[in-house]
Amino acid sequence: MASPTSRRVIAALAAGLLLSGPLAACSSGSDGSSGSTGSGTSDGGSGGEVTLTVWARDGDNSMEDQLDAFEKAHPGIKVELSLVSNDQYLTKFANSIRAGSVPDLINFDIINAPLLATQGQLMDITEQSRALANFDQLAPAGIEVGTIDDAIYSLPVALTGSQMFWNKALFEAAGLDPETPPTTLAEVKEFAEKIQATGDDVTGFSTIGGTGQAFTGFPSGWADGATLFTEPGPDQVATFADPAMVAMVAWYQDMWSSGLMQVTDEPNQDPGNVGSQNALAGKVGIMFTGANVFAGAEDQFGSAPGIPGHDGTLASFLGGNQAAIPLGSKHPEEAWTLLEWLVSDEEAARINGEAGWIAPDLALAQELAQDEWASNRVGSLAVGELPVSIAYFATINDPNGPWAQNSQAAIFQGADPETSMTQAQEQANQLIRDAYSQLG
Amino acid sequence: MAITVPSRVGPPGGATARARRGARRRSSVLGYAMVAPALLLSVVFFVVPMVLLAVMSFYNWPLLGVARPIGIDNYTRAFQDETFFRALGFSALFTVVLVPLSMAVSYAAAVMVRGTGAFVSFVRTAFFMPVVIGFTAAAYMASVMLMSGTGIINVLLRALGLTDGQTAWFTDADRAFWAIVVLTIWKSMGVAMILLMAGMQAVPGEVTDAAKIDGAGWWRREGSIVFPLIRRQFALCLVLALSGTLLVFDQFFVLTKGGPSGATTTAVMYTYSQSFVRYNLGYGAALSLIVTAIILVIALVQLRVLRADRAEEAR
Amino acid sequence: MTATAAPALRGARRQLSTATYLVVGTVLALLFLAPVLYIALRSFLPASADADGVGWASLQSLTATNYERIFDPSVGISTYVRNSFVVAISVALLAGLVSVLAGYALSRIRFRFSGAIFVLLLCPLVVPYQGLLTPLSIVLGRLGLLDSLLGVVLVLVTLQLPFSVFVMRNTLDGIPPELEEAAALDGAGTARMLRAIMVPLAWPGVVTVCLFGFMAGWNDLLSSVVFLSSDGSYTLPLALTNITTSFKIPGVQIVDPGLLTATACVATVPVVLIFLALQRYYTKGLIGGSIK
Repeated sequence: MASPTSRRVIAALAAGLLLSGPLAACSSGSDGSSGSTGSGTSDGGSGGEVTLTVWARDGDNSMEDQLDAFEKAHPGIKVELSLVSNDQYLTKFANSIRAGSVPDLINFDIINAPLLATQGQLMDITEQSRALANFDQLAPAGIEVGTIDDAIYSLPVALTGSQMFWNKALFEAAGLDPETPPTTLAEVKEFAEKIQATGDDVTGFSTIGGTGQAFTGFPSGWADGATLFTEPGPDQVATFADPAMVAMVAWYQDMWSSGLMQVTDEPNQDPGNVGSQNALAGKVGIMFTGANVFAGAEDQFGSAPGIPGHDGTLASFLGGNQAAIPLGSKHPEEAWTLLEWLVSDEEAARINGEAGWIAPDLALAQELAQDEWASNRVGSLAVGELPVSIAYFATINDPNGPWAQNSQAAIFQGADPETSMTQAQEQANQLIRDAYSQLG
Repeated sequence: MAITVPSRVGPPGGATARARRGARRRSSVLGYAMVAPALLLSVVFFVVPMVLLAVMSFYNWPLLGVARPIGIDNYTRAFQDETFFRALGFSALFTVVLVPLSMAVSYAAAVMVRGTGAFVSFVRTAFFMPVVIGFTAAAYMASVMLMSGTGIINVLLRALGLTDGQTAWFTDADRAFWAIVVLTIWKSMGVAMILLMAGMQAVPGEVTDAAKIDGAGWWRREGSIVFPLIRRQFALCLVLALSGTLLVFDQFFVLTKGGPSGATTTAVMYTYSQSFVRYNLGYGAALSLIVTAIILVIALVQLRVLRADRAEEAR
Repeated sequence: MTATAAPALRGARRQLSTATYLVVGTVLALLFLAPVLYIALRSFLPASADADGVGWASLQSLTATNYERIFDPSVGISTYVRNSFVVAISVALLAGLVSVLAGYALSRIRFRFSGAIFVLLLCPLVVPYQGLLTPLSIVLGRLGLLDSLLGVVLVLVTLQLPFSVFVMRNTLDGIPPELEEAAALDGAGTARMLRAIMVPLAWPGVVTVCLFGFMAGWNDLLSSVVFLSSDGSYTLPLALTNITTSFKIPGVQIVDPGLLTATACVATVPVVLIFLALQRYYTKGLIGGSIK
């Protein structure tokens, strides 16, 4: 039998729970569309203002300015931007699909484009895209990666390519002409040796290229005609053991064992901050990396529109962001207006440039390019390629995945390149099969 | 010489037992009502997700798209998964190395700070401060301090002439291992220290004084009097430390990402990567449950031992 | 040894051991505090300080730019700080309230299954939290609590239950039942007993539970990362990760260590201050919560 006391206690309990609820909920709900009502719901039912929810990856600094400019150009559409952690991006997107409230536009890492398109979670924008006036000027590899079975699901919105850079002052000190870069990998080694000989504190070569040197290593293989994967589809296999790719890995192994490569202290030798700091401080002769590293210091460095292979051709890794409209967006038309603006508008292109990206419309980007540095950046996109696979993340980007582990075993621990790449290939094939079996 | 030791330290005369017996008069409804909020939270945010996890483990559950039931395939796969066993082994190794060291350090620290006074308070606070910092923040701090060439630790080592200052701590599995062992001890020994200290402070002063007068040296006093009396606190710390360390994730995730070449991947990191990198949510669920089962068994074994002590003392 | 010399020798030995204790204690304490102090120093140095080397010379290049960038109005850090406070305080209060009630019931009231319930509340200790993230997202989604601070709070409180309930139960165990019996004879009901006697006597335990709850709420990163997705609800650690990382080079995480250490400081200072202020309580609280 509940005594008066127990009843009072229960009442106090209930009151306490009720109180702490609003305490937490009220502040999360006081910021417009955030809070438990979910994202993507807006107030403009009567043809009034529409609010779009946009997700971008954390660290993406160009979006804010672009969205501000967009809002000015399109009164009546407001945009709410949320930066999402890169690691959790796909997971949270999946959560939002399950919860039934997706954002109106997602801006994501370009390598995820095949996976997202294949899963059937994005709106088909083939018609609208082909109808774009500048469709033919958009970076071809960027379009290709977002296309499945001739249907387009995502468009490139901000791009960057990997390039070769060199420190002009160090070139001069080594007796090299700062306007004449090396044109083949063999020459890179030669020049690096000369530069390293000039001083104790100086390293000849550095690659700031991401997990397993994918960003900067792949282009050398591509320049020599290799591929990494066959056509995307359930029969896709990895072709890491292509002779040109093996040769690329062997070259890096040689550079490392000759002591010409900058040492870093990230696990897996993934140089992040210290690598770029050393490059900026003038301690490295030749660098394979992205142009963003040198923002603000461009005049000290020379640039080439890509990275050389063994015989003089240049290629580049196309990186950056794609954007797409999730199925289930409550404002697909306005979302398309935004997407269209992002890929075609001159103001959007200009802001991209300022933030260190390149606009997806290559002709427009070339127009805006005011000097050789910018022009080379655009040039690298023209020869930009991208490995297309729904298992990209697990096979290449994962620091413990087959590409990273095997290439590093070869490059840094002296394993035989051909054996390592064959092994990597087999492991990758298993992952690709897994990924397709997941699709059911 | 015989040293008499009271068999238990705590409220005199079995007060807890009396309190519990005497309280029987209170209404059970009240009991249920008061425990209800905690129970509700636990059911909704722990039990239900656990059940879901179990259900998921019998499915092939992709990130986006439809899940398909596949029976016990995930479990059979787990028992053949070499990488999983390597990760389990690594977690076990880390635990077996860390826990004794950490407990020893906590014990020593507790001995140091069990006194009174402003200075002792200062030292105690200093020892406890690292507990307050989040693990992620601490891991980032460590990465800054251990940077080759310029990190302050390397600078000090070079100044002391022990190394050339260029040690890259996280490119080598062994160096990374020990660096993280030190980091973890620094960060978490404070809690065990306080718990042990609590027990030590409850040791009646008369007993140790009597032993001192009888001529017992410091080690004898510590080993024969103090330690037996704080056995319960010690056991508590041990249980918490073992299960917590087997579940280690943050430090390795931030500092080594499981590398180089997967050499420092812990069990939980492996389940995390299955779920959030490979997007095999069903398999990740099965792995999580297996890890849980292992830790549960270990914890139960430990509690058995603890309860044996308790039963002994209640006599 | 004569009788008069012995006390003098003992006195000298005591002085030596006190001196040793002071020296050793100071060295160790400083060693323990050193990383935190170093991080504080590093946060006032520019990004390139590592390439240049941190030493006495760097004291000349002390700069507040990192902090300026963090507190720049466009970053809107006040929202995140506020959200973190809301989460931390909510967790503290809710964990305190729930565990006092549960602790009292488990300590003082005999009812069926109380043992089993206690064990159930302790269970989260053996489970890898990362594994529960996906099912929790599903549960929160169903409850409409995804992307809300309330959802994060409830999850964090549940994870704090093992520690909180354990400490509260033990603390309450340590209060002699005679006090309650006397109060009961005076006609006090349970609510009055709690309010007037138990809670005040168990106050260190309550403060400890609330403090650790605050700490869990403030330092939490993983829950916020997984469950929150709109900028307006982000907590401080999450927002700080956004500020410090950039992916301008595909696949490479470029981190500015000056910015990183500054954000680590911003994220840590409030908790540290609170702990310093309340250390008297949690010391006693952990003590009371562990005997038995």
